[in-house]
Amino acid sequence: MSQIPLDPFISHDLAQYKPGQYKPEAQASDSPETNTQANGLKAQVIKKLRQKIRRTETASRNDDGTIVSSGSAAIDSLLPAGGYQRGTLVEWIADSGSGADFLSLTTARQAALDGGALVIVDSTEQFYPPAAAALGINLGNLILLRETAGETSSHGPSSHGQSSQPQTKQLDADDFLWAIDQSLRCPAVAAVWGHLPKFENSLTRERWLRRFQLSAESSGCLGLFLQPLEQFGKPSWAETQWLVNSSVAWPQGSENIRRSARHCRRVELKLARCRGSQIGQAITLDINTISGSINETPKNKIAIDSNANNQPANDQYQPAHTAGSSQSASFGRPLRSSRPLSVAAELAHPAADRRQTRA
Amino acid sequence: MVAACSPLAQRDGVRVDMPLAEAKSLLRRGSTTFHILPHDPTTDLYTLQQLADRLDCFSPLVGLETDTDKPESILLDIAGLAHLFGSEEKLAGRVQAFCKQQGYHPRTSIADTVGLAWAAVRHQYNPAAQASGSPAHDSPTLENHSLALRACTSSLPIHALRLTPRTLETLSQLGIQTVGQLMLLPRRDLTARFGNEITNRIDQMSGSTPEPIIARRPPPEYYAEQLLNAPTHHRETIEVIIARLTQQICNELSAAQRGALQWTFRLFHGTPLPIKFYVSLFQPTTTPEHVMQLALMQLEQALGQPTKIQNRTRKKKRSSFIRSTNGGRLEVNEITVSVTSSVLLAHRQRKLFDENPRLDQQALAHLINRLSGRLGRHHVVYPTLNSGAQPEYAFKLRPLINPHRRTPRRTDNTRSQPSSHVMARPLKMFNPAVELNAAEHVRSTGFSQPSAKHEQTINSLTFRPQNTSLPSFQIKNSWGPERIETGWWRGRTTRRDYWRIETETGAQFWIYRDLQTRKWFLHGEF
Repeated sequence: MSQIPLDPFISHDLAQYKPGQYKPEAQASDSPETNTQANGLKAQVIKKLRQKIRRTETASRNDDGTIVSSGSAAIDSLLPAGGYQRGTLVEWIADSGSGADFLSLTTARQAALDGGALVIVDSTEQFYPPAAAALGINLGNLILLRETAGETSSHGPSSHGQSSQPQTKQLDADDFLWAIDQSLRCPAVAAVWGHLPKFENSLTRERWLRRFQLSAESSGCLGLFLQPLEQFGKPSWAETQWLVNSSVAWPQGSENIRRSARHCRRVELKLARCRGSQIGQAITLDINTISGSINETPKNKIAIDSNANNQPANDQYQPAHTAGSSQSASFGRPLRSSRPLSVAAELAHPAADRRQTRA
Repeated sequence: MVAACSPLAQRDGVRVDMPLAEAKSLLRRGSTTFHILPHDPTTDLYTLQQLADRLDCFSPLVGLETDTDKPESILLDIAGLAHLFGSEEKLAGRVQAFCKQQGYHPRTSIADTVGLAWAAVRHQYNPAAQASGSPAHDSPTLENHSLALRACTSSLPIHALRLTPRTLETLSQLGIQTVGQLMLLPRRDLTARFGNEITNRIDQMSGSTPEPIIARRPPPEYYAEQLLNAPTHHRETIEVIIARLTQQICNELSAAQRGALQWTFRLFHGTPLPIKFYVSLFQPTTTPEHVMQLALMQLEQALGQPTKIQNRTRKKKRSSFIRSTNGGRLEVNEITVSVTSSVLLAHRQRKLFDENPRLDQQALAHLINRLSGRLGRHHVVYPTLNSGAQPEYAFKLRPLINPHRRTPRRTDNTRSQPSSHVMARPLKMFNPAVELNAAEHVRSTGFSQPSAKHEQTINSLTFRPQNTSLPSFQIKNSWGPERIETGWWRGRTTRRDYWRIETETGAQFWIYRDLQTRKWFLHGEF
């Protein structure tokens, strides 16, 4: 926060807002009216300050100010800007089959709505285009990068001579990372989606992720990355990081479930990291498997279901399949490893994160 | 229908335009083995054009016959060329030998007019046999050859006149069989009955109406080379020369309003095999900077900077000597740059206020070029949907860069289809599917008759994937089965029952049971 007084506009606002000015008043008069009025003013000033901080912090970002919706109003409401800002990175940390692919590709679809290209970095070769088409993604502006060569065309003699060289080429993780960086740097690309390939060590990981952040900022492209659960708690350069956990939508044994309920799957999302918003906020979503709509689960329904499941409420965010992992124990707070972090990694943690850790 | 057949098949009674089934039965009756291939007129025409282009080593004026949709003949104007090859017969022999080398068995004929040559080739005209009535010559020359042809014109069948099938039919109904019979009829009546067609053809054959050969214009060649008196091994020198040659070609291209799609660079260094590398582009370009950027990337790969240490110190290494793969020093003595594929440039007006940077096709094209340059063009692909029931074959991947593509990327079958069921297929599919080891009781129950009843029965089953990176799971909920039976034309019919399942942790997978082997597989993740 030490930077703030440097900005004349912000210091002006700070001068207007004196916390002490309102506090005694609120204490003196117990009437709820003045209390809410003061709170409203406080919220306004905080909002204004936040906007200004954002403006100074993201001066280098080459976004056109448009916000990309996540595809669900419930998720958007958790994000400070009401969606994802272009020129940033978004990460989903999830286990296999947890629905993170669906959520992230829905965002990718939204980002590419205005005609930009969508780059899919498919280093594991598991991306399935027909399912993406069913989701509403226009395959016409999709660029797919994969290890196995696509269809080999046999047109004329010259293509034979040419194809012999690149076909034999084996792509490694560096090639994919380079490709992600190049795509993020291109202003015509709306979003880059992919599972990040394995990094050699934490140093290369930090270097590449920082580079991705800068590339995305320079072009206004949105980077959407999925990472396995082991990556949780590691330094991140993403503007927003989600922790995705699937849960059983309707417990077995409850036979009197409506037919419509059968077509929903439940996913729990937790904001593991978000600049300008409070982290640790969680939301439970119902995804309609027929229409693909994502809605927040009514609160009372979660209670009933979890009662039926006989699950303690605080176990909800236990990530699946991490037996023996100590990380899952303190889920609300990103774990810092005991190893001293590099300067770059420290920079990756913005002020909001540190505040949360202190709180 | 039969479009063409070999003489051997003709001997068995197969004729052109005969129904395929009839031809097959005729051929089966014969003892010889036979092959039936689908007719592909586009490739036929393309091959003929290619051959015509190659034949321009014999004549400056090579063309295809022009007045039909399906040209089958190549015409060469050899006026005044005979002495270069010795004689006309020798020239014809050379052409025959040239074609045989390429795997074709052409019929050639030399005549004064296109019509006469066409007729002679088509109707197996043998000058010696026809000219047997006339006084024999020891060495047939051009004069007596064409005289003999003229003499036999009247005995040629009317099919030799390149008439439309309708006219031919009418003429045969009238009982006219040969050109001679046709020529006996008064011209005025022929014109009144058939229009100009017949008289025109007769005149073309006799030469009283000129019929020019329309020459094929070979695509312009863009080629630049630099011979080095003193062979070089400096990378910088090579780069400078390539840049200059590229600039030179780009100037030519922009003068012709064409853009290059594929560039070929060759570095000759004494051995017969030059170092060769290609730059393929997503969009045609005439900007040398773009090409050079990609060419340098390829040059680096071609000349080999294999280790990472070298990459890191590239700036220092740049001025160093280039080395061949076996470590020897390379001495480049000739550099050539050519454009192997170019198209007409489509000019698009730039908008002054292009508020959406994501619609910048130029930037996207550069990205695709760069990606394809480093990863290889077969790794930068786009998917198209196929209408296949088997999930593995429901899409196809094509490279975005195709130097032989003349039309832009097809978008008809890449549009997202409004799907009635968004999660009918998983977003992540394992290829090949991971085999699942079922718990004991699953194997014992067996599922001999899979039916809708199994919706209940597969719940609470436990599976352990054979791939150890995946955890074992127990099914809590399931949706299905969806039976897929297809692919008999690929050999064995694929018969599978698919379920979308939810595990005890809420993860959703797509599993199937092979109905033939009774094995369970994990095929995807939702």
